[in-house]
Amino acid sequence: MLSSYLFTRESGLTNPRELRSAQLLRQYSTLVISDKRYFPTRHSGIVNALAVDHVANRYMISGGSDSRISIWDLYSREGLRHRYEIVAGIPAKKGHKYGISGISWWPFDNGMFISGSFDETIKVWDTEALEEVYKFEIGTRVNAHDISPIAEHCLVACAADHPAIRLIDLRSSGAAQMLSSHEGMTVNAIKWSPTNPFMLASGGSDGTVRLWDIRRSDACLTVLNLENTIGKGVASINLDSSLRAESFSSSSTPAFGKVKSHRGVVNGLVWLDNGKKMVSTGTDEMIRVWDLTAPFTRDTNTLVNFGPLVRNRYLQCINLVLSPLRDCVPQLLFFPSDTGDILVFQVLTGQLIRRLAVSLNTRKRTCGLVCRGSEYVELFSGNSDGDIILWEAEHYAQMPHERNSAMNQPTKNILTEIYKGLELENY
Amino acid sequence: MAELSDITIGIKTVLSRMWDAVPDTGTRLNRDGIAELLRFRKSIPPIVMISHLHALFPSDPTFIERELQHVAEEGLVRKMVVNQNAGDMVIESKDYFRILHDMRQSDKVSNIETLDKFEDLLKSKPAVTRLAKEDLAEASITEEEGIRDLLNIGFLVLSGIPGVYLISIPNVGSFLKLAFRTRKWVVNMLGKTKWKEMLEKVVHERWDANVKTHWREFRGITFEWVMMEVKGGGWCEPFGTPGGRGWKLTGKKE
Repeated sequence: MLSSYLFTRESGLTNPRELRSAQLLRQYSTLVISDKRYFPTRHSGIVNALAVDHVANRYMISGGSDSRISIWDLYSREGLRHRYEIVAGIPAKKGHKYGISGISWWPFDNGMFISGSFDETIKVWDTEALEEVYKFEIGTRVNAHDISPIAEHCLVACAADHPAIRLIDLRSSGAAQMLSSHEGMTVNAIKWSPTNPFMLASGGSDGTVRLWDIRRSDACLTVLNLENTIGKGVASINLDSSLRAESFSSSSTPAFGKVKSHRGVVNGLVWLDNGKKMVSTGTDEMIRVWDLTAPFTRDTNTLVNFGPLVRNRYLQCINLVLSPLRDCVPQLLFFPSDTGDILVFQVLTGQLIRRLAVSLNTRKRTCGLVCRGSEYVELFSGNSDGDIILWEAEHYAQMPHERNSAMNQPTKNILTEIYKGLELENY
Repeated sequence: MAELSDITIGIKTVLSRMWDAVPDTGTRLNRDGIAELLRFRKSIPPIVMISHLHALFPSDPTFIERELQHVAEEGLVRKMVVNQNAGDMVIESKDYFRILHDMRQSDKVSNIETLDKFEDLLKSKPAVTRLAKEDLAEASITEEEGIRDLLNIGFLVLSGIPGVYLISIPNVGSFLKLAFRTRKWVVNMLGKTKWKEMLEKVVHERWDANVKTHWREFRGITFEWVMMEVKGGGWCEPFGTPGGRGWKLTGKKE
């Protein structure tokens, strides 16, 4: 297969990126725990948050429930034994008083990073001096936070145990705005759009994913409705943006009743890099892909089904991670399931590509998850034992295995029987 | 309009493999018991859980989800979501409307026109699983008379939200109870083992050994039906062993 790709690339029949995409997909399909490169255990609780810097993809920060923050140097050579070292760290209890819920690097350089914690604060740190530069008291436990990767405004959006989302302006070091619309007690996930600096998405305990445009006075644009699906069943929606939570059901009745994106708490969100699609997950153990482009309606459930193995019952924010954009197309979704496996799906079809099992029978939950970046087929996961694990491509990997053939057999038998039966009926 | 679809074929397949033929001896039921069992089987509407469909087509769950939406919009099948924990159910539209028609004979309905209006409303919204008071009012089904009748005979059930009703079918409760109990039996059986897994042969043996429950409580439902529901719903997953197929709990909780 590889040789045919090489031939078609040489003769100019296919785009050279196709070969790269196919090869990287094959590598991602064979992720295994690295036996050469490893992390010493530094955290004593679950590692909740991992973030790799955007500038050189070289430094990774880990934050855990032990309130410790560590910065690791990821420089290493594939295939050689290597022990990752900490270059800097903030000891437990010194930085935050309770566990860390999320960490993000400053999007434009390595000079600063931001941490959110269950001790009800968000802190901005100077990386060189390892000193706290700003501290924001949110007043309730911070479940998740996000900073826009493209915006010129330096707003940090905070999802906390409170129905309103706080936007913090780092330039004026004060609270900028509050976005109110969620009806539950908490907001559990929040992510800025990768293409629109003023748009963000949030998921809450009211079972809704809400889209916001922070420039508007009534900022909530829409609530994603799981009943709004592709196909004829979509009601004729008034496309101008005075969209409220009610009128999206396929019965096209105003004030229908509560619109839901998930039949449970929404605790994970990630945008696809073109800003036109979004993936959400909730405690109803569903992962949904939403199409946000104009021709359909504003928000459509694309009905991608990720299968019955998705386990998601805890309220804690799930780190949904996509494989780097420039690597394989379409992207892969890495999902840390409650059972301790990391499930690897093809994000647009829902097909399960691989299950990464941390250990065979002890159920270590994975929480922190991050891809190193383009050019590296490396996935880092942080689990409940305080370990950080590197997953890398298996060398000289065979073609991705077909799923267990025992599972396929009953299907084949039933269907062939039916079709044979139908054939006989017709004659 | 295409009458045939993988979904309708799937529904027919599951229904055709749902019940074990009642043998003459070995059921530990007397003649009345057998009559009651057969009557029960007839009273259950021909519903299939969506997890059964997922078990038939395990390699492409997105296909099932989209195709289901498609045939629902075409009016071939009716989706029902009566209980969130139970999962979604599906029935062929012709069966649904036949049962609705048969209700005319029953004396529980004060006004037969309500049934007609309900049928027209459902046919105008083929893909809908719940209705608001306003939708029913548009079809001239009033709250006092029409809605109360439909609730009584079981074609509507209350949702948690006032003013919103879920589309249902009579005797859906008996069906769901059967599904819950059989599922629980399998999950408990696998849960008793150390690693929460068991060879399929062994599970089947235990199932067969349980003669009294099998016929009295589970009404002679097939092992296959139960395992398909449990697999498609994500409660257990199969794996291969040298000794045959095995089943393992996935950790899914109620």
